[in-house]
Amino acid sequence: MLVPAASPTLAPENVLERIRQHAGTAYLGGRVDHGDPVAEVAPQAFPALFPAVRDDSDLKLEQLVDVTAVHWPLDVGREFQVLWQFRSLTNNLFARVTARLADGASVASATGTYASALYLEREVFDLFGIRFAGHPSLKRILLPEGYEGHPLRKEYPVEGPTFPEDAHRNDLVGQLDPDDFWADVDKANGA
Amino acid sequence: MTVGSGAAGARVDLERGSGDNMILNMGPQHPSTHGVLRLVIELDGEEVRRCDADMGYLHRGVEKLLEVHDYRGGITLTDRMDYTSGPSNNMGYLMAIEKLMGITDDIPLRARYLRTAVAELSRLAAHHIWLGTHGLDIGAMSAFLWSLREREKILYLFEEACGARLTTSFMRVGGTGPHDVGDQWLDNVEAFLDGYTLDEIDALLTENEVFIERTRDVGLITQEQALSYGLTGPVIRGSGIAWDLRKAQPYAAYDLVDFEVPVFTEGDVYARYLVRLNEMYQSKRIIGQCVEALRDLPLDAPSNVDLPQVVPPDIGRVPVDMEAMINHFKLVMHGVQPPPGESYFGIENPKGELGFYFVSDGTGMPYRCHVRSPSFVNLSIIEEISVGSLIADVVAIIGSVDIVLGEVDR
Repeated sequence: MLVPAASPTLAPENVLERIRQHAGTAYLGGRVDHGDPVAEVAPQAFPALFPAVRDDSDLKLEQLVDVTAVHWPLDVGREFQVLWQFRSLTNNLFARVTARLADGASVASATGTYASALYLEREVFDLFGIRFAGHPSLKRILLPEGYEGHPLRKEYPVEGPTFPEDAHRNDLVGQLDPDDFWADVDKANGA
Repeated sequence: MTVGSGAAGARVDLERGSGDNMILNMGPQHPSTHGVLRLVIELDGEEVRRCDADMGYLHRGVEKLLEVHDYRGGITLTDRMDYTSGPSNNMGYLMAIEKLMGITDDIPLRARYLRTAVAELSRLAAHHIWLGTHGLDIGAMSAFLWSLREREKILYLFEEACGARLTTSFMRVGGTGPHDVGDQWLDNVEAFLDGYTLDEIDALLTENEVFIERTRDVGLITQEQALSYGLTGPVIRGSGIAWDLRKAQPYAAYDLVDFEVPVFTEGDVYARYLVRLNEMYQSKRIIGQCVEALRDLPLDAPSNVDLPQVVPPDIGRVPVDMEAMINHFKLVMHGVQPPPGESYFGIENPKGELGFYFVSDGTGMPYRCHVRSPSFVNLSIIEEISVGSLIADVVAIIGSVDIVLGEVDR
């Protein structure tokens, strides 16, 4: 039975220090944000960093809890911020590692180390269009095959790409006079 | 035609299968897939050779929608994810915003206890859905009826506290919001706890030979698999890992109440059943302690933080006090505005770790909000552990991993 430590065994600064040692020259900086250690690395640090932080006995980041991304379209040349969030259950630790990518660039997959990346990376690919090199089956997961576009990119409209021409009330667009509509509502309410 | 979405690059050929194997399409309208999960299963006789999960039928783009709602408006989207435990989802979302704003430590004791009590009530409600349907899948009809009867009582309590049974939108950033409860509600919770028992369902299933036969040594998850697949919640505690965010990183009032984390080491469907069943007894314990603590608090104890930029003023002051009116106007028009930055916060939801990752640009709407949903991550193990089991066992395995498709697809 695995019994986790009651409280974190390392301070956030020390977690960053360990990650810095493993990432080497790819380490670009770190900070403690809202109590969580956040390390920024160059994309070349992967995939070597994944087994390194998992097997380090001080860190033991056994779980890749989450993979996601943020789109910064105005930051030309480094549009995507990809983040990997790790947890160590044994040592009760949390860590976030981020990397900036250019639009269209790919980053190494974590599937060789963490099986949870199988789904999480497919989700990021589906919604952002970021490619993970080495993923055994990188394809859409939430959206259907053949769907065009990646909805969580900022340029993607919330209403959908074809609104309103393709909206379900297509037959009414341009024909329904709002004044008539509200007159009907008033009449129904006895006004 | 090639369909499905094999995690390890598996492809199931729908028309031919491989060799003489048969392809079975389970779902998305299959009652035992608990919603709209579709499994494409390659069968050799009755044995599963390959299993591909296909999801997304309930995808509503919650993360995109959260980017165009203010922080308060987003609350209504969260309880539509894991709809079996709405208030708990609301709480995770609110506490993530509070962490982003750096006001976690300012939340008054009353709100912390009430959040804990309501989160545990929703854990009971969620586990009753699981218990009922899991039993039903394996052929125990009475467990379903008895279980949903108990859940109904909890939904009445939610309705009394906030006006809604399922989509509760319970509480607000900074405390309880308008949803503080009175002594009458505490009385009703106590009456519910007094009459609450799991003994009949326990007696029906735990020692039931048919049930044990269907669940023992089925769907085995090893400790290594549980870690590698990022599993959380009762699934990981059924594989001998005593990880529970309520203990490991206490939030709300979990550091003030006394409870145990049930852990079983077998890693099979039966172990996960025992984990959840014992967890329900612990939930009852926690709710009882929270109700007692709420009664002990003075009548005028605050239930919201005393920060005008977070909590709107007393509505009675708005028409007569200029500052209160401006404050009210600002909060209604622009909502709370966390400072620019990013943060992640996870809570122990009934299904596992529910996390919210926020990026704020300083405005009233998040620049990005990512939901780390426990069901989505836990689901990925099904493709691996189904292989080699019988087709009837797949039903038991899905039930024991306990997924909600509203949360998987978001």
